[in-house]
Amino acid sequence: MKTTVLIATNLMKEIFRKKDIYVFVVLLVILLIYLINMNFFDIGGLSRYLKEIGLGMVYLFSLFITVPFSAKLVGEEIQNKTIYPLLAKPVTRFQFIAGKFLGALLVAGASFSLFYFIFYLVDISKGTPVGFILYLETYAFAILMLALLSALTIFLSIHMTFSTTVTLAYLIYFIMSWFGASFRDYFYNFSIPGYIAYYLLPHFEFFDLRDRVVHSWPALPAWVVGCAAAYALIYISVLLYFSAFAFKKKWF
Amino acid sequence: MVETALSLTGVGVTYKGKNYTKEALFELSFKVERGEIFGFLGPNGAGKTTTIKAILNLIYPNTGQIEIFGCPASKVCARKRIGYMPEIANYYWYLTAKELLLMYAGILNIPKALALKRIDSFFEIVGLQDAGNVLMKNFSKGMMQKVSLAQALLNDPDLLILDEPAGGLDPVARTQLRSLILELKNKGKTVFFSSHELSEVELICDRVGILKEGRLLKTEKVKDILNQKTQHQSLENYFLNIIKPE
Ligand SMILES: Nc1ncnc2c1ncn2[C@@H]1O[C@H](COP(=O)(O)OP(=O)(O)OP(=O)(O)O)[C@@H](O)[C@H]1O
Ligand SMILES: [Mg+2]
Repeated sequence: MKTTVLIATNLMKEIFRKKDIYVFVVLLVILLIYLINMNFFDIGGLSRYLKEIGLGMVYLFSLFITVPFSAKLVGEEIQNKTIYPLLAKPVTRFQFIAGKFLGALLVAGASFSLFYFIFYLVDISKGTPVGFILYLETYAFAILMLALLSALTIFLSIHMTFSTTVTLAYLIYFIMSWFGASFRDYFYNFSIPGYIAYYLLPHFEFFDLRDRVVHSWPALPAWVVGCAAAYALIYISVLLYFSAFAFKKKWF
Repeated sequence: MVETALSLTGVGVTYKGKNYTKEALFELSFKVERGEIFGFLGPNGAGKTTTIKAILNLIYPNTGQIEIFGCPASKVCARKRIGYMPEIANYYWYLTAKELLLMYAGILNIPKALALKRIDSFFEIVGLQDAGNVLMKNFSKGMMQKVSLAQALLNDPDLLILDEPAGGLDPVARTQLRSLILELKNKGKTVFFSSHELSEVELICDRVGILKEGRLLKTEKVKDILNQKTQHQSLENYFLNIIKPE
């Protein structure tokens, strides 16, 4: 555990010092300020669109940070040859993968938190705020989604090149976000095998509560939150396990 | 009986890629006893680095066994008592040398105070005392190499594995490296290293193994080599004689 945390915190230090992440932060802040200045918030109907656009940007930017950063973690370590001294220590390959995942999650989580906080400030001051619980749920679900996305990206990155990994991760993410819910009717035609197949797909859309915030719908009941969290955690564990398994077979 | 620090038995390694297979090691068997300084020699591409990677479980032999102090190389326990300095020293550019070493110390379960003491005294010796808090992207090749040595020594290892440690070091640092290795020997530590610097090897090694095209041609005590009155007066002549084509 300690090893995993050490790998993760050092990864985080490195990424924040490399500074390329700040491009996204600055860009997003500028876009949000631009949105606020459009001064549409006092027109009832438009406020909803601006909420939608604002949240859309927050999610999109988090996606653009999470996927490429997760995709290059392992490959970069191999390319830079920093993996040799690390794996020559009493570190298991599973700890290595877990450390990288945790580091990626911390970076993605920190950036999302910042973006989301800015959105929150804008929304409560200028928009039409929703209940605090819903803000929290939306936040927690987004973090779970980013964790799932990061685990999936790391898993892909063990098997393929950086560009293929990034492309495929985006593709899976968008297909699931847009069509995930409509797969349900199709898969459910096949009873039990269908249900299994349906839940084997990475359902990113489960964790996207943006619509609730935009339309000021009520918050989700606790048991739904619990089920979704369990789904994400199980999915992430399985992905990391298989990543470590494939990583174990690699030669350096 | 002397404890065996490192033992390889019938180790074979084949690199397999999509369009190639390369047999890099054949039936490699040798032992390094505790307290020995063992020089691992061979021309470029002989398989020295491959052997070291197999010892560290970075690649997996197709045949044979490797044990470090009796623990199979595939187990984590094998990597607890060793220090390793890779052939190409490169560390995280956006960490400082001190941060890097403290991270490794954490992984190695070394208390922070002890780690700091070791880091400071090592940096003092090799002249890095002002570079500890500098990001490593600003380091010269030799400075990286020194950091690399520092991380290998961090856990006061019983077996030190060095892959061409002298590369990139200036003459002063080389002399320091030599006395450091001898000092470790006096403390009862074992050192296994690959090198092309035969004059250096001659000065410090107890025994050498000569590898060519993945096969171990000879293991011999340096003393015995130098005492042979016949054609070779130096390790270099001996080496060239052994590896020359039939
Ligand atoms: N990943 C790899 N895939 C295929 N072949 C490899 C790989 N790594 C090494 N080899 C081959 O294995 C052989 C041994 O290489 P190795 O790096 O062990 O040599 P070496 O003795 O360390 O040489 P040097 O003195 O140049 O460092 C070489 O023929 C090399 O081309
Ligand atoms: Mg080599």
